[in-house]
Amino acid sequence: MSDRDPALSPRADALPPPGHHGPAGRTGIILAPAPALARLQIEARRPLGPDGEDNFAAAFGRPLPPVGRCADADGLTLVRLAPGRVIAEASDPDRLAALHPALAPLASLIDITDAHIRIRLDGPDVVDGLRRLVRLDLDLGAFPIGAVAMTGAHGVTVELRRLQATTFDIGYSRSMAAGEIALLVTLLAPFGLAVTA
Amino acid sequence: MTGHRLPAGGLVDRARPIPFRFDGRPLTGLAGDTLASALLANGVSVVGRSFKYHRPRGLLGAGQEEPNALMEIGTGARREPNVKATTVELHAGLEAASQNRWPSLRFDLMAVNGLMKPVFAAGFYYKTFMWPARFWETVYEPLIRRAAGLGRASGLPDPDRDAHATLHCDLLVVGAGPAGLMAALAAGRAGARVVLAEEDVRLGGRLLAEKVSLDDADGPAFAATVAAELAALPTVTVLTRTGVSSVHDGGLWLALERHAGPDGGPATAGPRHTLWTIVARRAVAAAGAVERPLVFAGNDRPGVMLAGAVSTYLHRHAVAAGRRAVVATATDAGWVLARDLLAAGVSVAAVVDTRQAAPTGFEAVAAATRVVTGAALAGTRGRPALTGVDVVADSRTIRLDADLLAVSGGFNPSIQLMSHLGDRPAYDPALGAYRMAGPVAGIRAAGAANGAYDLAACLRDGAAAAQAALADLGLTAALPDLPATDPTPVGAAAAYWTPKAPGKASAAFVDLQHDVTAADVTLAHQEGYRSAEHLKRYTTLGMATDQGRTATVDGLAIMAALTGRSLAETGAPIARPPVVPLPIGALAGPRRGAAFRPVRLTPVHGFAEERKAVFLDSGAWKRPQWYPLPGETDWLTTVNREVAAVRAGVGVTDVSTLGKIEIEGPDAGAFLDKVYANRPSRIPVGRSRYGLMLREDGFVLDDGTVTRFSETRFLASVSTAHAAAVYRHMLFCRQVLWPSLDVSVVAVSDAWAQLAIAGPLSPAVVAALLDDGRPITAETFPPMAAAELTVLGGVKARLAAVSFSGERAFELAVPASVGDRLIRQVMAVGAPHGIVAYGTEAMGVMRVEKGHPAAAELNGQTTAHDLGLHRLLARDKDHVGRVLSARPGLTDPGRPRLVGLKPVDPAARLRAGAHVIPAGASATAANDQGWISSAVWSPTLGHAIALAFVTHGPDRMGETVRAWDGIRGTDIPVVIVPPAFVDPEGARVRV
Repeated sequence: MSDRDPALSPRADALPPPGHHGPAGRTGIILAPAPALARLQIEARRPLGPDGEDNFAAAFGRPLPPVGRCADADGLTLVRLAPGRVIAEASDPDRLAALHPALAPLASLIDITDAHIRIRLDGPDVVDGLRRLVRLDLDLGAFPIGAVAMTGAHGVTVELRRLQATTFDIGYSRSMAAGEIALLVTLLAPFGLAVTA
Repeated sequence: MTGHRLPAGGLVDRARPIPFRFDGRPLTGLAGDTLASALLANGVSVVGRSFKYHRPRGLLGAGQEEPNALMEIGTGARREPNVKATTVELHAGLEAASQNRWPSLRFDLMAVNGLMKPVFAAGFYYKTFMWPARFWETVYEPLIRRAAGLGRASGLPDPDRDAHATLHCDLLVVGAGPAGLMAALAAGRAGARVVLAEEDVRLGGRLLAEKVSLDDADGPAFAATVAAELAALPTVTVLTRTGVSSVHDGGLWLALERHAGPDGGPATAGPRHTLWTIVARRAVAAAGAVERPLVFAGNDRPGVMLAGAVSTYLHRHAVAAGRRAVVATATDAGWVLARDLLAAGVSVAAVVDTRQAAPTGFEAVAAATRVVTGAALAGTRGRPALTGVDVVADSRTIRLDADLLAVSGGFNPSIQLMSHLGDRPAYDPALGAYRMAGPVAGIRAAGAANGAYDLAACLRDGAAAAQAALADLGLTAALPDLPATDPTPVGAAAAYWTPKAPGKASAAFVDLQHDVTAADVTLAHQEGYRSAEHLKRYTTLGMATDQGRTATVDGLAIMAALTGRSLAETGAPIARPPVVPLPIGALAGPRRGAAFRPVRLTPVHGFAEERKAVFLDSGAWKRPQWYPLPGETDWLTTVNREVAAVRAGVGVTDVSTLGKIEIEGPDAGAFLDKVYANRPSRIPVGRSRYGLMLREDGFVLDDGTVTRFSETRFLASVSTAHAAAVYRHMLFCRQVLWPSLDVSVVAVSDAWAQLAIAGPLSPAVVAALLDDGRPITAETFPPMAAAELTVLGGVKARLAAVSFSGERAFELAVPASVGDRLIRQVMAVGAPHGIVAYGTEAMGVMRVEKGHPAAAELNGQTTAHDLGLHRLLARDKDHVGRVLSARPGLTDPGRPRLVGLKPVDPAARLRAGAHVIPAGASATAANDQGWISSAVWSPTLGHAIALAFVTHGPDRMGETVRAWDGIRGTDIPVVIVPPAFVDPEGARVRV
């Protein structure tokens, strides 16, 4: 788990160079790479019944967030995409390795650190901008802080996560990231987009 | 007045004149004008030529109902045809041109079509252009193509972008007239999420077009007050310049927003349009009502206009549509207009009412002008524009001089959107119009769209509709205090054309945009096309861009009279989306140019670009096809070099696009045994094996390799083209067919960069890459061996000795983020061995030389027996496709089976797709014995080779047949040979 070169975090080449796009003097949205984290896909190997769900949760050693939510604690973020599918993230890969003993009897733990390119969007116009990307209801009541969804963005699947009221992370499949982020820049430019390193 | 512009009033800014051009003629309008109002203000009476007969036409309406004023707007790449002048905001520099005329609007040669009216009657194309048959393609079709169509597309790439966006709301309100404003206000004050969509540039609807008073404020002032409150409500989104075009299942609406630049013209920075998808839990359709014209002989003469449109031009744009008006009406609304015209100083020659008596309350009008009741319009005079109107009353014909005839035949509630979900409107005799009986899928009509024409009723209806809609959602909305208004005169009587009407039926136009006359409707009845849907399609009535807003009901009424049925019995056709025109660019949205479809790049794409690789589109992937060196200008030279280099030395190619699926768990082996036709559970740890996967119907789905890294961990490598399909198939098997198995299936294709290093010198290159320095020999790492190890100083990697080329070869995978670093390291350590980068073309040549089937052979129509892989089919266990793959039809040796072909003449070139025909037989379907699936030039052998499927192929080795290509015109003698052309014993992989 600790064999990745931190100097080659999975954002190289997919992001446009730092700069400003759109109307001069206006910055409604800031696009930056999301922090590089080690990521594990934890897939329950059997359908979870009521007892199975308890056992699965217990194996994490802490409460699992509900489906469609993420939760942070002790340097470990758990993203619950489905009843039996959790993405575990940590800046310290060893933190993820520690999950193996308890979870291995129930689930497969697959390293997906390099499978995605993740970006962070911030700014007062982020919600208006994201309305041009995804079809989800982005009202705080419908997609609150901590919500996560796999959703369509102009024909490709992305992971959308709300960190704050106007802060979102978007995860793209690595192979599609360059093209889709270029499209995203075009979509967000009318709001005044600043791309930062 | 100056021209037709009134000296005062209107919502125009006289301090801001706006220059524009129409048919090259410079004109001036005012800020706040539409193109139509500006043309009227300048006294332009003829704005176009009709579709079929090229009759001169003037403005009829003031909005989307306009059938005549279709224009080309803009120039160059931004020229847009068929735009209604009534919907164009006037802006400086606007260039507008009339359509459908040659050489000019004033003198149009094609007006000769009018002389052929009897020939061009409804449905003429079902009865003509049939004889002689040879004329169809040579004479009739070219002529019809030249004559048909309306407007010209620019033919140039669209320089503008359009956006797509999504909004969610509790309540969508369509239309911001009085009913829509009250609906939005009631819902917004209740805290509901509201979207108010208004097609116009400002809110108000009819409040901007009529002289009304609401609590002592006039219409525009009241609308502005409500608009200000709506803008301040935090849960209300107001979209102006936004036309709602359609409604779909699940509360999904499409609406098109036009973005304007600072001068009101189309936006040139940012998107030109936004196509909104609005997800609404409930909706209020407050789109108003459209006035019906009167149908009579000569009703299409320029100068004949809808009374409501005249009112709009008068009140909103301060334009008198004429200097001397006749108002012909079946409604009280006509009298209101007459009163307003007189108040504005316009001469009113007469009010002609089809009813027997004038309505009460208009005595002052009656005193100021001539009144004729119980009248019918008999015709119009003037060329090309109106100069007089003929009226029949009491058996007398009255001739009136006028340059404006304002007509009002009644009102049709605008309910097109509500019929998009399949519900048909029903005729309401009390209202004299078609309307929806009740809510449709959560959509409520309100205001005039609901038949509430009185202003007070309209306001109340809008608020009530919102209240009811929110109640559906468990929300409570209070009714707002409604302003005090004067009662609106709403009296009306039916006034439809009948065969007894004076004047020729062929001169009484029902659908102005498609030149459909009362005579055409009569003809349709005569010929048996009597239902509403048949009438529409046979005559094309209602099928133009105005969707029959001013035509359909009149046409139905004529048909009802002819058939002796009521309008209720006749029914109405369903309106179909879009209700407002949608530019194709808006539908495409941001997916255009380089973003037309998603593009997938491998982790080593940058390396390939640096080396000037020529890329191939392989699905969404960009794959290097070959790597030309400086001086190489012919692709075949490059590919031959790459093949030779790999066969003699070593090469590296990017195979990151292969699908990679991790199968993990105690039952992983058992699961794979069910999915694959052979037996992956018997693969030892640290080994790979070729795998064959069947579909349920017994045909081959995919091939690939399965590698075992531990007792419970496997990696399936599947072909690029089938990666998604195989993954879906595996998920289906796991979740649906065998959910009790203790196994997981996870796709990790994008997580890994993968390189194939091939050639007799590949072991040395691979050995130099490994951190642990292990030797790579036929003994220590034989073909099909596999291992997890590290490279690049500690980076985890997966190595498998698999070959697609027939040479000793390896596939090395690392996490995608270090893929670029790996390939550069491979090139560095391979340099002393003369390593070359090679692309998919060379890969393809080598696999054909080796006889490996690929996508062209695994095309979904071939079986394991066809491919010569039937020995892989395990007989002692069940797997997907086992039963049906044993069908006699799939195992018949007479089926075309995989063989190799080589040309008798070594210089001949073979092509994929050619048919295999026996020597001496004619090239017919009966003699077709197979086809060539893959063909390449083999630099190794010095001639072309092919893989083909040939009937009884394996039993015909050495036989000479023909490769016949009827498309390219070749017929090449070939010899049937085994499919492995190079190293058939497989010795080269074992070095």
